[in-house]
Amino acid sequence: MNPSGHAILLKGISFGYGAAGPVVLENISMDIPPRSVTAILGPNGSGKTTLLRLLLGLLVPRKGDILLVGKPKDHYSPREMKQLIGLVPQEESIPFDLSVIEYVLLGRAPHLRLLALPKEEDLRIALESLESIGLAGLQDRLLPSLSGGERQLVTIARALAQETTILLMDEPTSHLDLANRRRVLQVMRALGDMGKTILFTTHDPNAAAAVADHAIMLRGGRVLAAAPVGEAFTSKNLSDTYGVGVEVIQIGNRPIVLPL
Amino acid sequence: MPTYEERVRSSRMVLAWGAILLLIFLSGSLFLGRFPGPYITPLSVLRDNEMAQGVLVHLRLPRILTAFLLGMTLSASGTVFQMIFRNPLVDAGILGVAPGAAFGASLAIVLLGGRTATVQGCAAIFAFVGLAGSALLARRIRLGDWVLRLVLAGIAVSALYTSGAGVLKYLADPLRQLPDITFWLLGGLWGITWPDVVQILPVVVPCLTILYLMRWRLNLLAMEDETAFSLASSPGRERLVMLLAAVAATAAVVSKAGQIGWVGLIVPHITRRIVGSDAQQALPGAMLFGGCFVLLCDDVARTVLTGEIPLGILTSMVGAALFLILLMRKDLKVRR
Repeated sequence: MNPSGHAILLKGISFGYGAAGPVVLENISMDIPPRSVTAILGPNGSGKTTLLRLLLGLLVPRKGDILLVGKPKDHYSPREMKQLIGLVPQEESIPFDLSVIEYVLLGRAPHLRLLALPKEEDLRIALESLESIGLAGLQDRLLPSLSGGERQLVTIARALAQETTILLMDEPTSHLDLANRRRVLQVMRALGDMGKTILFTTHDPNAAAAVADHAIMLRGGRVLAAAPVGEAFTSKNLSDTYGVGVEVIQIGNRPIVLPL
Repeated sequence: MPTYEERVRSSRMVLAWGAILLLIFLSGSLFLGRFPGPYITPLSVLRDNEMAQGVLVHLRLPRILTAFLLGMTLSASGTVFQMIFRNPLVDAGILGVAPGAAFGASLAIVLLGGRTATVQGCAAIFAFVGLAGSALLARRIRLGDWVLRLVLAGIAVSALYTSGAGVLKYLADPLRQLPDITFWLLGGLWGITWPDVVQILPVVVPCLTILYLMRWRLNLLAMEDETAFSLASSPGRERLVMLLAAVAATAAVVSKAGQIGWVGLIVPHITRRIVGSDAQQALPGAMLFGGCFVLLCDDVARTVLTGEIPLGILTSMVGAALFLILLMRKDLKVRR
């Protein structure tokens, strides 16, 4: 199905808002292998979220090619794109009190025709998605009654119900407390081990070190480093990325990043 | 805590009861009126009095149907506006739809001779212009996301229309035209006959059918732009289709009934309390309850006093009272 062996391949992508706006991303190339967890690291404003929006198709690059699972992005219909890539947004506000299962069912939309209602089968898949990340008991609670961590996990469950091979996550842990952050990171790792290709942005290098196989470091719209986490996490790379002195220590086989 | 299946089942029950209630209201309303005697018209009178039969067939029946369609349309479009703009506090008043219709009608009355067809046509055209103006302005505004921009643009367009209508009222002949404008702005169904029903049905029925068929999609379109885009093939186009259907149906009924306030705001709220927020149930629920609500208000409007009470005044009074009761309930969750 995918002889070239990548889930996402970017070749020389440049992007800026409007025709004459300043360049946000410049000459970005990267190769994301399938069934891996990849972190995009960088300070605020480095172009991380823009990169996710380009992959999603919400923005169109000025230059360069995007290949998804061996085929140029343009070869997919909008519907096929939505069956291929799921999104877990940073923090989603929902103005109406949907129940958890009603919300997770929305993930089935790319598999339903325009005027169709969700069927038994869709309900089963939605329940399984909740179960797979340990939220089986929550399906009938209303969204506003959930904690921040639970809401983030429910959003992940919605993206899982979409049954995509690629999952994009925008700052999945940035607004969570320690316990919830750990829980979300464990779920992300488990999904990676189950064979999903996960690409997530974070400004927290320790979150990246905890779950990611690969790290891509962005600064000012350019790639500074792209390598397996063990290689990419050097004091120099991280200092260059964040613009502050950084020390990396090893605890077990995991790098821990300390700003100086 | 009910399961999803139980919720769906119980909402279906509520909707079925709503439909039965509506049928009772519809048939009951036939026997209410002020001819030949006030309040209730007994069956025996209907059997013997040809005039009463005529009133029932030619005046009451079309009026009852129109009241029902009016309530359904305002509530359905209110639900659509609230969900697509992710704002529980909007209805046709935002987006310049209703103010556009009001301005168009006033314009027709003051400057274009005030024939019925002209008034209705102008109301519909300016309701659309209100939507289009809001949408175009929203693209130019440089503050907030799409939803907020559209609401801001709608507020500005509505204000322009309202001041325009003010100028027209100022210009209007106080003896001939001003009463017409005022009457229309207050809203009511006193002049409705079969030709009116025949004129609105071909617009309202297809539009409401589109909204009904897309009801589950409405949940998706109520998500933030990024999420909606990651799930729906072309959320922009789907939003536009639903908005156009809502505006077209609203303009059609408003052009006959004038300004009927608060229905599109309060009915979707109450419906969500009863059947939940999932539009799969909330949209048909709003249609049913909205139909019942306006029908009841119109029964009161045409029966209680010798003279007609303007329907818009009644719906606003009841709506505002219900709204305050809803907002002051202790079990209301306060969220940011």
